[in-house]
Amino acid sequence: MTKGFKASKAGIVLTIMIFLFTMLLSACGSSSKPNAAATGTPAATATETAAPSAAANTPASLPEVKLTWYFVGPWPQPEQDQVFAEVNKVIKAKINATVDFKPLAWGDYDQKMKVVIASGEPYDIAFTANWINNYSQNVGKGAFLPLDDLLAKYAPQSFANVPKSFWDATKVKGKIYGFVNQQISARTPSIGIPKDLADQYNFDINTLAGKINGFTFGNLVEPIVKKVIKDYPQKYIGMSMDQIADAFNFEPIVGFHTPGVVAYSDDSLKVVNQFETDEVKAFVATLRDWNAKGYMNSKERISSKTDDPGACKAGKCMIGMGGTYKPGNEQIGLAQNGYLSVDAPANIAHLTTSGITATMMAINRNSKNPERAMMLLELMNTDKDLYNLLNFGIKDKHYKIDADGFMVPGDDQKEYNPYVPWMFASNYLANVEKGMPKTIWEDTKKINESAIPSKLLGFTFDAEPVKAEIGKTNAVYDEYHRAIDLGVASEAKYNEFVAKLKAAGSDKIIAEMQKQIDAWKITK
Amino acid sequence: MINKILGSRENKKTIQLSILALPAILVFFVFSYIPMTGIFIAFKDINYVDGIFHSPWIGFDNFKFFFTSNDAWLVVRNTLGYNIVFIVVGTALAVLFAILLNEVISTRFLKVYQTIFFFPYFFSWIIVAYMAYSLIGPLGAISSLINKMGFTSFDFYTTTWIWPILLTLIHIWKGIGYVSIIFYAGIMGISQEYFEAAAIDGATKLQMIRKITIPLLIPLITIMTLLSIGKIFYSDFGLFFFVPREMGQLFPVTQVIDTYVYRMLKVSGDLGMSSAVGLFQSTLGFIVVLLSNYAVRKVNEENKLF
Amino acid sequence: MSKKTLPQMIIHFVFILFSLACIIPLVSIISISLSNETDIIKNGYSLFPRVFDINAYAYVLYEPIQIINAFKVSIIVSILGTFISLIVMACIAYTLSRHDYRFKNPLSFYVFFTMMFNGGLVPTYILLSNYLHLKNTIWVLILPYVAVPWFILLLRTFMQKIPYDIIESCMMDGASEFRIFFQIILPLAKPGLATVALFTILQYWNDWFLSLLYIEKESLVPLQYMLYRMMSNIAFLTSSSNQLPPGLNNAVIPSESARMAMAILAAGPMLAVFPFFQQYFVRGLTVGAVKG
Repeated sequence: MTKGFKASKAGIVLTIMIFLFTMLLSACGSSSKPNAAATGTPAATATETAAPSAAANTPASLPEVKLTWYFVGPWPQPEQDQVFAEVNKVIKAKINATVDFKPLAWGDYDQKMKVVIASGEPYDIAFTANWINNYSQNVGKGAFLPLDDLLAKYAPQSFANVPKSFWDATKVKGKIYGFVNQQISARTPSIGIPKDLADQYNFDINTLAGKINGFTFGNLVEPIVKKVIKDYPQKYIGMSMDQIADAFNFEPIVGFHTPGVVAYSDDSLKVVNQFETDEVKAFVATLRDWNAKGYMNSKERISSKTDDPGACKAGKCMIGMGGTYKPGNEQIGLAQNGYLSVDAPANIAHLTTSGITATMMAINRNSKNPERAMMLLELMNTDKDLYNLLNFGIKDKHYKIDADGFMVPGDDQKEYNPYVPWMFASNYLANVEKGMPKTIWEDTKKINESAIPSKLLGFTFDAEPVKAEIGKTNAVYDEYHRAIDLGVASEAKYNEFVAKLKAAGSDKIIAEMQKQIDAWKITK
Repeated sequence: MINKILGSRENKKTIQLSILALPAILVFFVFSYIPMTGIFIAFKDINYVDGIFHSPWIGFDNFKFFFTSNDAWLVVRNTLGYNIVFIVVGTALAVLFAILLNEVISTRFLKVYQTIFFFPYFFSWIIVAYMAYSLIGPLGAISSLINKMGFTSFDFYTTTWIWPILLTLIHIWKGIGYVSIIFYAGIMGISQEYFEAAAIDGATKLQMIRKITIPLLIPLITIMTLLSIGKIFYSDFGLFFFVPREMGQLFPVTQVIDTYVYRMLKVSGDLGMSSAVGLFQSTLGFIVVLLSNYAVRKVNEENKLF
Repeated sequence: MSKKTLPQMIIHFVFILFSLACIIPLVSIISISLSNETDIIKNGYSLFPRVFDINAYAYVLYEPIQIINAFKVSIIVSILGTFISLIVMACIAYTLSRHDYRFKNPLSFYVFFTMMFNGGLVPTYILLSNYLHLKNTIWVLILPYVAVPWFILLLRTFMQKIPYDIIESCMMDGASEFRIFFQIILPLAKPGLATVALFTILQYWNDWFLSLLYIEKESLVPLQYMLYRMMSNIAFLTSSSNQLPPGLNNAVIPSESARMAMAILAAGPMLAVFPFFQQYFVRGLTVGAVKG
């Protein structure tokens, strides 16, 4: 008894365990089998089972399936279940499928999806982008299914509607992994100020239009900030590297959080670490300076991991930056924030790979019904009523159409108003809201066409070789960015951040990017 | 035991008792033993094309990655450091409280104290985090007091040096009611005769505590300490995750192995790495438990775990 | 009792000080929840409401679908979980308490080995979500905590204290083990069961970890997880932040005070059961836990 376990006892335990194991295996067999099948060679099965021609896909001939769809937004909405049920009625009738909608909140999505994908959960569709649920990183790890064949077979209309250059922008190693939701793709953040403040200080936001970047931000914006703060000390300027990212004079390869950018003006396409560029350093110095001057209210905000989205509604915001400047911007801002602001494009808009890959749907590699998932995407992108139902809720309840054909808020708008039209499908299908130009989608298309194309357009990074380093650098960014964004990180702290990025492998990531870009340049 | 001839009644008894144990056996099997087989993930380079079972083996690369980063030293240091401080300071204060509780004459006060000390034990860490924020947050009463004292730029949630102290205080605050009651029961178990004899000899109260109470409590203290040492590689996730409000700039003093594994999974989505760190923790934890159990057995056979 | 006592004044001073430390944080959040939001923003929190205001509760409890739902989830999980868990653990504890049970040692090893070694977060997550399909079900909030070795240990110790003679005489009468367990042992082990029941209910009520990992469905979000999400985003509370109760229009949204009001609502039920269990608890603890 005193000297550990005797061999015989261990033997008994082992026997019991083996006995139980066999018992449990037979019990769980039924539930684990489909998974085993799904993890086999899903790509192959996907194309094989996709045999019947698209024309033959009448609801009657299709077996009923359940699809799981993950997406992000200001969820939960009070009447979302009601709207989803309506949406499912239509989907059921058209493609004999029901969708298990998995709406996640802004703050949860990235982290939840990391775990969902890492664990190999057999969901079907997920929203992916260069800024959330990172596209290249996921493709690099093999999380998504190549869509080329599926697109041609099951989504011919959508495939034709999106310009070929857009599809090229999503390609990794020659294959498409993301279904592009068309919208504004020429990107620069919008800079805006609440209308009442603009009127009170007689400030014309358009004087800043197209002039903002990392170097100029401080000098251009400070005068108005200074005036407002003086009268309204409780207001603060919420500004982060993330929000201004698209206005910097360079293009991130994977996303702003991952080291590796190429300057728009650089013909040699040299990849550098953005956090070591003078431009980001200048911007960070501005934040530091503003914090010292008390513009940021950092003292209060620092003890929250993220800013409370309710703060602006509570009137704490003044000049703000973020999103992408697009036609109808003011109206969108009003719907999202609950107050009217006047906006302007911060910098010159470039058409970049990241602009195109900003809103996409991907199909899971482990999806059991990839062809049906693609049918659903085609349906969402072609059925205007269905799309608007999911976007704006039930007609005459959550929204109304006025006599001129514009959309106006319904009586129950507050019960369902996620307001993320670019999330579900092509934004060009959306109802035009009152206050927006009637030709808004034509205008948007024109802007996309006329924007300056980036020199990197068409190149998408294959993150596979450096996926571990990207994961580690993201963890470092996660640790430091809040303090940097609020301007409380000293210069020494910032240098420590850059050093930690190096230790986490930023140089290796950049070298790999350079290698791939150089190889791509030759084939171009 | 095996040589004993077992009658059919004996068999029936064994079967019936085994049936009673069966539900729990199954629960342990599913929720503890099957996951143990998953430790192989730590030795793989997981990619989603091949899935967890068919991804290539990479030996100890995941571990190497962890140990060559600066994080390894930091999280192990924090985990061990906090636990050692918690054990030493926590036990000492709990024993002190137990002794003092024993000295309270009024039974009504005794009851009230015991009840109140138990209070913090009943709150979840999330509520504790809210409470802490309400006092030391930027608007908190303690913060404003400190600011009034002239340290206007002082802020708890950005000041790293203060967190080791704060976390220790909060840990003790939450647990002392519970632990001190265990020691109090130990004191109650000491025969009154010792104290009466000492009183006749004219011993002072302090002498009695030093010469009788503490020596007789030593076995219990040893066991409690060894049990805590057994868990030295594990930390209270809630304390380190919620109370510092996930502040990135506090990670150097608040990141422990448990939170690191969680964040590894959630922020970088790296299955192999986070499994490797988890396995590292489990293995070291296992060795320490074996050692401390061996030590418990040395001290008091009756209190051994197995 | 010996006549020589330590100066009571000092002891009471120390204890009253610590008692205050135990109570003040609670007072602090109660007070904030009853304070006027504008005043809070201007002057900071305080230990007593400077401007008394119940808007936070009005706000939190206006169309409280989310909250009622979270309460529902927490209550179901706590009650159902405690019930299942207690039965499962009592059963195996009884078997383990019988020194004449043939597999006593291997079974103890089987149970307590899980305390010493575990597969870790990742394999558990994959098993529960992909193979057992427990993700986004109420069971994922219950089952992982059904059998806790430490509580089994506690129950076993209690049951070992029941004289073996009683069991033996029942066996002589030909009673089955099931009958002995349900009719004799369970009633005798009541204090022990009550202690463990309290621990268990506390564990379920205060748990956030399982929901953090496995719950995405709004209808299954328990209180603690809701509180966690509210830490950084008050919008989780009312789901649509446009909503304000009729009397509150134009006022500042009481976000700071509403958070604290929620914390009070979440902590309340445990504080309410606390006194009922406390006597059992202290007694059970002093008998059970010392003798591990």
